[in-house]
Amino acid sequence: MCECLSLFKCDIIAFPTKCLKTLNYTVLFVVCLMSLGCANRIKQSIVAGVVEDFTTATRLHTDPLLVEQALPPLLLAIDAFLIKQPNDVKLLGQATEAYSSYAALVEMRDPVRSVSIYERAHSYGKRTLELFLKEKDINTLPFATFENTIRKLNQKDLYFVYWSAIAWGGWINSNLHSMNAIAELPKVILLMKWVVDTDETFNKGSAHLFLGIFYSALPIMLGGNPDLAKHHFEKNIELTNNQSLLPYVFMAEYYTRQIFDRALHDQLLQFVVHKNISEYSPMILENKLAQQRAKLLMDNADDFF
Amino acid sequence: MIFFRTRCFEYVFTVVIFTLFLPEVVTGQTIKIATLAPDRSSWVTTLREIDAELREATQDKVKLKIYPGGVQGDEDVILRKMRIGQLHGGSFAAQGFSSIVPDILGIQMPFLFNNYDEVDFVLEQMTDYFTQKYEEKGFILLGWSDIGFVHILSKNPVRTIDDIRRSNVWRMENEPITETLFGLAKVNSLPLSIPDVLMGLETNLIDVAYASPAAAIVLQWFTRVNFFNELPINYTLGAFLLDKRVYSRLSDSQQQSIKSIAIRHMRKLSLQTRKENSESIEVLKSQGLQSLRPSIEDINTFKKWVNETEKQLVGSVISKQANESIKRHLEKFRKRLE
Repeated sequence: MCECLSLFKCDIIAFPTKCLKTLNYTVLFVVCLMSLGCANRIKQSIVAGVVEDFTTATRLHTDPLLVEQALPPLLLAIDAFLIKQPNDVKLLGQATEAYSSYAALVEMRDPVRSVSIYERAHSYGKRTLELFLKEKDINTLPFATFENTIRKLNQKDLYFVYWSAIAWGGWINSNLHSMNAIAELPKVILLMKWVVDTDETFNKGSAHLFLGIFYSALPIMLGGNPDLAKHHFEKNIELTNNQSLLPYVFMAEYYTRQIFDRALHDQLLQFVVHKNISEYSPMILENKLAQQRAKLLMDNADDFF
Repeated sequence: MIFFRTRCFEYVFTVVIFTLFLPEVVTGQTIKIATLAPDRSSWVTTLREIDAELREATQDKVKLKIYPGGVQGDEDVILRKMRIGQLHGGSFAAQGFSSIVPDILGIQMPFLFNNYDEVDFVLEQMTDYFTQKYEEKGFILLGWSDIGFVHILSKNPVRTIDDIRRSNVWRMENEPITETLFGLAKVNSLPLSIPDVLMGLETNLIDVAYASPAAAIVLQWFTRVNFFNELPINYTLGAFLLDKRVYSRLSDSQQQSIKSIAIRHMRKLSLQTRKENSESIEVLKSQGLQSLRPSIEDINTFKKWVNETEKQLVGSVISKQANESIKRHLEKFRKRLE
């Protein structure tokens, strides 16, 4: 059922890397040695800046492995800062984003290793949400109470809610053997619907992509809905100004399988594979990955149809 | 002349229809299997494991092509496609395969079994009977798998028959046991397809449903109810069936391979499902559902209505022979334990 959740990974990969230059380890090291009194604000601002730079740079990069290998020092720096400031919401949000993105990158090569990274991403995301919602143990909060609780959220919380939901979804996807994890999925879906209702344009309409995959990866018998899936994919295409190839690939992989339409499947993938990607595209990494995925799906189409 | 044309038309029509109903040639012994279970679920994983082992055992001469997630349609459609040869097999829940041999409903009568030891013993004793019944209808039975014991889920506490009568209860479409039982017990029930139940609970169209604990989680029904009844109502099962025409085109050793591999993996799936259901009961509680236990008197009242239901169904839907055999084996097992 939850196979869908693994597939937002390419979108998350729209994360970072100009920053081997930008990430100034010397500065970070010096900051770590500074006295606590004057350091907190500086640390926070450096980490926030570095994460943002990573995000921007990675979107422009074409080498996922390089990005993956560049991230660990940043992650450890964030961890270190969070030891001293465990409830710093901004840092927690950055940690959730950074760890979710890193987990998604690792998952492509080594799904087993990604499990513990998603675990950490989710632990930061969960702590972030619990601080925002002023609730403990949100994972076991009765669903109706959770529904009422998220009414406390407002637009300024969007970034934190989105990344917490992404991390939570990634954690569920890496724990599908656990009924506990599967039981938490409705809460993630609810959060993603909240993101869409609050600002559907956030992160290039990624919440639409997430919901498109969710509604098409599930069999109709279990709550899948091809019409809703199509709607969310089309909204994502619209909100990325038709610049992202990911919704096309995911539509082919999930929606066309759900409705068992081989012709549409092939048509979407052909479009992706033959699309010229500009070197200056702000989505070059995700589009390159989308093309790789499309070729793989074309090669394996006979296994399914 | 008109007569000639009519006969010609009849002839052509018969040939076309006959051709349509011939099973498609199993190219390279690729056996097409469909299921409603989603990809990566334990059911589909089991089918993939069967496929891998089958390929190895037959040196890649026989393999499965699996269509998960209901992409080939619901179970009625899968059966229809099997009859015309478009598909060669499927893994089914009870509703699908009880439409072929309704006697299987005898295994699923409420309050029949008290535990899995009883289930295992009776199923083992009855397997030859059901294998023969399915074969007579053109299907090869390649193993059972648990869906599990079904429990009542409700928005308000349901302990007694009066509590149920005050509720709007879901029942599965075209399922004779609940239809008869609720009719006799004067319970207000509403037939809905499974995908509509969640919406029914969300809109208060219904306030009582029933499912195995794992299904209650996977289908998200638990998000719309407050109570979980600890009393197991009835055992439900699934099965892996193959078109007999396809099976008979395999060599003796290939037939033996597919049968032994599938039955072994389906048993493994049953044990896995039992573990998931047991874990799911705890998950339902941790997600805030309150558990209820009816009193012995209330259970006896429920059982009275079940006995009435059985009287109506045995001889009409379920054969006397099957019902008596099931009861006899169960009694034998219980006597052994005394």
